[in-house]
Amino acid sequence: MDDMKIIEHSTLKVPYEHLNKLYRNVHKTIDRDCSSINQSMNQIDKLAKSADLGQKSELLASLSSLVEKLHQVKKRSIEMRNQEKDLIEILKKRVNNLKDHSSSDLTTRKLFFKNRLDRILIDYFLRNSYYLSAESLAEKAHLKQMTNIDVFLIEKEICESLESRETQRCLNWCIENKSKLKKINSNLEFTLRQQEFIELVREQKCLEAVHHARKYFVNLNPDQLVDVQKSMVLLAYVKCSDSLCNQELLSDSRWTYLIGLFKQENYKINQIPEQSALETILQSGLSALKTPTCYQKVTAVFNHNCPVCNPNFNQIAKPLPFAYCSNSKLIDAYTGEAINEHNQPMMLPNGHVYGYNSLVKLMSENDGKIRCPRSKETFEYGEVQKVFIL
Amino acid sequence: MDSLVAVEKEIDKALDLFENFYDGVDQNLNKAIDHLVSIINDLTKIESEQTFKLSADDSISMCKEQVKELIKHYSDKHKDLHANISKIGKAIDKNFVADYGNMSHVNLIDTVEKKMHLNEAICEHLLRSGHLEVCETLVEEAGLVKKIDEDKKRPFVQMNYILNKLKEKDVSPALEWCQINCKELKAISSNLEFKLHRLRFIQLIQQGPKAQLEVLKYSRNFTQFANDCHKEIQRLMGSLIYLNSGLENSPYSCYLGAELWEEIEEEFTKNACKLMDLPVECPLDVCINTGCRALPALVNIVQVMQQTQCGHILSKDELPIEIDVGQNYRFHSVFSCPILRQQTTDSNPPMRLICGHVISKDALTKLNNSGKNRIKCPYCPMEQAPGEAKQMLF
Repeated sequence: MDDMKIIEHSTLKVPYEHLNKLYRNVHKTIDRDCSSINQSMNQIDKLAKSADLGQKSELLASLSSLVEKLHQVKKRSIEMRNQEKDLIEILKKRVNNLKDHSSSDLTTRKLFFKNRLDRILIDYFLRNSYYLSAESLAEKAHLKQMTNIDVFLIEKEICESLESRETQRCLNWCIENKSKLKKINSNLEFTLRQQEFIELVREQKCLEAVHHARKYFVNLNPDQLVDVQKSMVLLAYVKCSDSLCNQELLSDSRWTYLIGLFKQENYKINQIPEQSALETILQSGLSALKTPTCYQKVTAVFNHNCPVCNPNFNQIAKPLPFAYCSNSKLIDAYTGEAINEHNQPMMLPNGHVYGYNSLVKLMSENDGKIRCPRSKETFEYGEVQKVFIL
Repeated sequence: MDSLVAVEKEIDKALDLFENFYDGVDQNLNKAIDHLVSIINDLTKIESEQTFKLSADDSISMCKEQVKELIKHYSDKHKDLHANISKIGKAIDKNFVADYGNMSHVNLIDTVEKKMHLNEAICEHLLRSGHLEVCETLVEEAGLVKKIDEDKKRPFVQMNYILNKLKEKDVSPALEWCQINCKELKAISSNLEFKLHRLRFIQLIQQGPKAQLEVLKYSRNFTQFANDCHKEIQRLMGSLIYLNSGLENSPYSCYLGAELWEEIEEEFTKNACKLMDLPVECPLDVCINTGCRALPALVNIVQVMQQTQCGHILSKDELPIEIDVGQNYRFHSVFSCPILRQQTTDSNPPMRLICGHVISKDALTKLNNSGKNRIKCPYCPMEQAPGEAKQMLF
């Protein structure tokens, strides 16, 4: 299993889902066209069987209109052919792009990894609604085709409409994706209708609210039934606005909940993972780099290059597990070199340990004496003691 | 790679089948249209009642057959194509892991503060990789205006300008920068300036015999490096022999490689970062590279552990397996006590026994639990008092 298999699933699955959706729509159009042609043909057949010379012009007219229909069907089929072909081509392009991951040329590989990080950042920006940054980066890095920006732009529109307390757009989206939402047992449409009910009650349009409930609160499962009961209580207490049970249903946080629910369902039906790739990869990376030294007070050795010691990542990595280490791996605090059998560890009288190579370097810089880089004390070589690490 | 090959196979198959299908549909439609048009023409010419009735009946029943065939083909064959489309989806699901293999456990960025930290780290990455406008847009959208200000951006603006010029094979801004920061570069023993002069020297030689005087004049720039790089300077001066015939077929052709230019960009970035007191490699890059390396092993473990139900690996204190991050990414010493197999910390530091062997403080305490005030090293026959062990700092 390599990292590409884990990270790039949605890169290929999302255009595949678009293809599936298009295919279904195309098939609907084909069925419509076929039945309309069938109808015309049957009509003409009937006419022909009972025709006499007087009805000749009628027959000819129907035949001509059938020819016209066939021309239109032909035009539509060319359109649909191009649409389906385009989507398959997009899939193919992405597959080709991903092949660079295992390219034998180092430059191509490096470019692939650079592009991958940019793609991951674009995905993170889109999920957090930084749409301008995402578009800007996609343009600069020429990555527009490899990202799923269009899915997120649709999401942006609907989220904005929900934020302005409008449910119609989201409902349209639910109807469009009815079958998929049903497959995942989604509660979104019901929650939207419930919110509409609440809004009607808020505006004291009680009769309308009752009509609304009659129309939409049908075929409920037990959980939904409980929600409806709560909403009905709201109707009863519509005049006293400060009763406790009303607060929860009338609060603005319900809209925030709706937006979150919509986003969640949107990701599910588009086969986009819930957590962003950036967070998943960061989790693993930070954990693998996290050592106790990064968080110590006394024995801390602040290494400039360590990401976990970086003040930003230090906070983020706090709840993550430490890296597991079965055998000691030592590096020299002065030069960053590895300490091993070629560079044996030596301890100064103050307890600090350095590799043999570092001591040689320190002695050459300071007249044969060793000046500890951390405590600034000076020692003779004779005071150094050897250390054995197993 | 074979995962991609498998998916590509299905995609190519689908493309072929779609081509064939639509070609067939086109053909059938054209045939039907032609047939109908000819029927219309024939019937228009007929004046006699009887011929009309016969003709109409005949030709239209024939045509009806054809049209019914056409619509059957259109609808049924398109339905068949669905199988190929789902094969693509199945190939993707089979060869790729969905949902990151359940690696996502907690919300890593769960507070506003942490989001700000992450956005800052991303801004730093964007500045280092030259996407200055993207960084500015992000600063605005994410509300980081106070944290990322002009002072922070300025050194990166300059650095990216020099890098862009190097990409265009123009070394003069870089050389200027080197001359300004000459002292600091010497302190970190960098030979960046020499390498830049070398590239310019080769550029001039490539201009051919007409540049001869300029080349010689330029070589005076090497005098300041005479002590450190005299061997390299000798080689470079030797390449002058090929001024007329060009370096491509000479033993000095290695100086024409594109890798020298890539190398100089990296070298410049490294030196600039060192001077600005920044880490050599962007922290975000390091994390992502390590993360991508670690993911396969971790996903494997998560899959195995799902059956044992002992909680997600990211909720524990330590990862369950060792991840080899490579020597370049080892930034701290990790001492693992050979007796207790635990990493040493502030409260449990490594201790050196008189014989030179090292164990953790907890291990030392455990060895001393008999209270006799004499402990024997677990690795050699040396005995000592516990107080004689010295605390070490790596």
